[in-house]
Amino acid sequence: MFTQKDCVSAVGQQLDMDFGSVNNNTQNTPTSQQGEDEKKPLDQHLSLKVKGQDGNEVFFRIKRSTQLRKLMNAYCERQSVDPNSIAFLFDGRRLRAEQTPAELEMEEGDEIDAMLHQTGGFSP
Amino acid sequence: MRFELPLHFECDYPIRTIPLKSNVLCGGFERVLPNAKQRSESYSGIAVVKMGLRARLDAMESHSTAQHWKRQRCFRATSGLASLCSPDGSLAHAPADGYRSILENNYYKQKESLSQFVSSSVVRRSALNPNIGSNKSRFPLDEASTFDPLGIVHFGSHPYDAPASVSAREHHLQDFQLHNDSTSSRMQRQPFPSSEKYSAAETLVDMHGSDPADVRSSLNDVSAAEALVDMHAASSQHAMKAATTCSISREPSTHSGSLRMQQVHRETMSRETLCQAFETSLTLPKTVSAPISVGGIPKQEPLYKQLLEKRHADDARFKELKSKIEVEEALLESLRRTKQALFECKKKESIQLPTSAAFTPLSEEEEEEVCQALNGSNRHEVLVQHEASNIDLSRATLQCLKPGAWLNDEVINLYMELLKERECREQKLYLKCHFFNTFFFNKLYKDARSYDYKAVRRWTTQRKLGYSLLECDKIFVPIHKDIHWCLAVINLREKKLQYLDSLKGQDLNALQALARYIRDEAKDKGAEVVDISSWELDCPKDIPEQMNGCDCGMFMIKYADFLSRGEELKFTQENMEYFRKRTVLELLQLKVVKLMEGGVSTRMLLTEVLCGHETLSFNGISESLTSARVDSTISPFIWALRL
Repeated sequence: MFTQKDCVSAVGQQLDMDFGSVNNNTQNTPTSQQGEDEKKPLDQHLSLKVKGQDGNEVFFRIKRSTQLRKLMNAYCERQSVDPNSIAFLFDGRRLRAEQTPAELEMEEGDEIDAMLHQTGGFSP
Repeated sequence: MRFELPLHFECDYPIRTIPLKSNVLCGGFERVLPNAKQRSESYSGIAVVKMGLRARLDAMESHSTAQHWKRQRCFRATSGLASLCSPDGSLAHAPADGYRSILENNYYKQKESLSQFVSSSVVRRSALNPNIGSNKSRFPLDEASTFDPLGIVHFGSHPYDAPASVSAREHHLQDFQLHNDSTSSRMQRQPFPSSEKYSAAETLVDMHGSDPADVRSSLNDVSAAEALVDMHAASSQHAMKAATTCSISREPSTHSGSLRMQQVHRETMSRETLCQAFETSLTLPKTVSAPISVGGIPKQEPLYKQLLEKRHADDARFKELKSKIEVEEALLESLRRTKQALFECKKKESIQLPTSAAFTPLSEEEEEEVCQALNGSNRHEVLVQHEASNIDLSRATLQCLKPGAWLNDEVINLYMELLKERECREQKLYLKCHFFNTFFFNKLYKDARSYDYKAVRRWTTQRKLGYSLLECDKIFVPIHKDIHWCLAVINLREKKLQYLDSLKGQDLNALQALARYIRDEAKDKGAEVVDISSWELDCPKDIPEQMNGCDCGMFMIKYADFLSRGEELKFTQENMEYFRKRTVLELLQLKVVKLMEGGVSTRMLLTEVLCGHETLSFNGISESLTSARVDSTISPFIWALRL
């Protein structure tokens, strides 16, 4: 099992994006703050956390200029869900696949919410 | 197995062995002249024979059950005729009342049960004393007396009873007379010769008379007639004797006897119908029964009468209850009708409400546009692109606005965005509102099953919103309840939280979470501390109600629409079809327009006029309206009229 730090140090440089570990801890860890401080000036990569509705968190390391589509597709593939059934939110706003972290001014360790689409019409 | 029950009588008398189908021989009845001690047994023997085939079955039954025997013994001890000869030869000690009551019953009515008893007593006694019989003679039953459950059906074929076998009967009568002679010779010294004689006579009569048709023929028989005469005499004597006995003998231990008598009496009564035919055919002289019927009605009512009375009382009670139930049901029915009427009335009212604030109808072009959007062929064609919210609506997504479909979050979220845009366009006309998307409440409370402010802390920064959340008049929070849409409204101005559920559900937990959110938001964003403890949490029920299983999303966005305008919720289920179309249009145009104040749905109006609703004050022009083609240009005119 990779930890977040392992992930960052091991593969962060080579790949535009990679999978992090699954962390069931919903609290922000202090390491992410440290990582932000260290990495921010060094490179164009940043770690993003995608949090599902079940509380599971998946970490991704992504280039700031890379479209989020890559992250979304990777997440859906990993979670085995249809991309059309998931809405990605950043601070409550819908993410478009063409957007990039830089455009959204995302920062290291920022959290993206993966929400299942909802429907309803009736209560039994 | 052969089970023989020898009985001994002094004089010769027909002895019947009753063969059973099961080869159990029951009742080898023999006759022995009784000495003083055995007199009662001899009487019993006579009775057995007298009983004839009718009692065979009963006798066999009783022979196999000791209980039955006991009951019969009681009967014997207490019954009017037999009790004169108690087993020990002493005077009968039947209680006076009980005895009288027995006497009152026609003795013919008792005869059968008496016979049964006697037969069983004989059976028992002979079983107890199997070695008594020394001087016995057998008269085997003829072959016709095979087992007969009814005991009567084959009776006529019995040689002693069938009219054809007169000689056999005569022989029997001779035996009987012989017996009579022997008993009458003892009359002077024996205490109750008359009863014996009577019993003998009765036996004869019974044998002949068991078949009523046979009785008449028997009556023609001289011997039988003599026997009858004997019997009459005997019964008269017996009645006299019984009367005296009854007056004399009162013994202390009669209480149980009288109780048993009651039982016997009942049994006797049950045989009444059976014996009636026999009684009438015999045509006994009234004089015989007259002395018997001396005495009053039994003081204690028989059990069956008591039960009958109880039953009558119960019936009366049931009747009373039934009538009560009927009354209650009638009341319930009337209440139901009232409820229905009230419901109808309410429905009518609620239908009339929206007509007073009609809605702008879609033009033909708009209708066409909506139709095209919903019914186009390419499901994946993106029909709406909203840059600000990053929400794209494909045709497939938009089709949730077709009548009967469930609304999805995309449509609702976009509509909320459009409502906000509308407010920003014309800030003077609308309340300052904030519309959360459908995911907000999931993050705040629902997904984690607990309150989690951190999850939404960054959703409402000044920088992102462009305004402070707490400046708003109202905050709208769509709540997704798995398959149901509700709306929570935080009214910051009135310090009130409302939970609007088109199905009239309520969720105070949601409101409490939102109240807490406001407090935390104020704390987090550095605004002044909000005391939420005094805020009112309300789940209003007097809101437009969803009447189907698909429109809750429409109700929800319309609650938001109306409330963000500061208007009352004046719409109903009836309007939802129109609202769906209108929503499609507004989404397609990315513009939620305020409903025209003067806008009247001409279709609705026309319908209303045609229906003759009294609420409209322009009935006068209804005729011209119905004939004229009503278009949007007329609407303002009508509106003006209405004002």
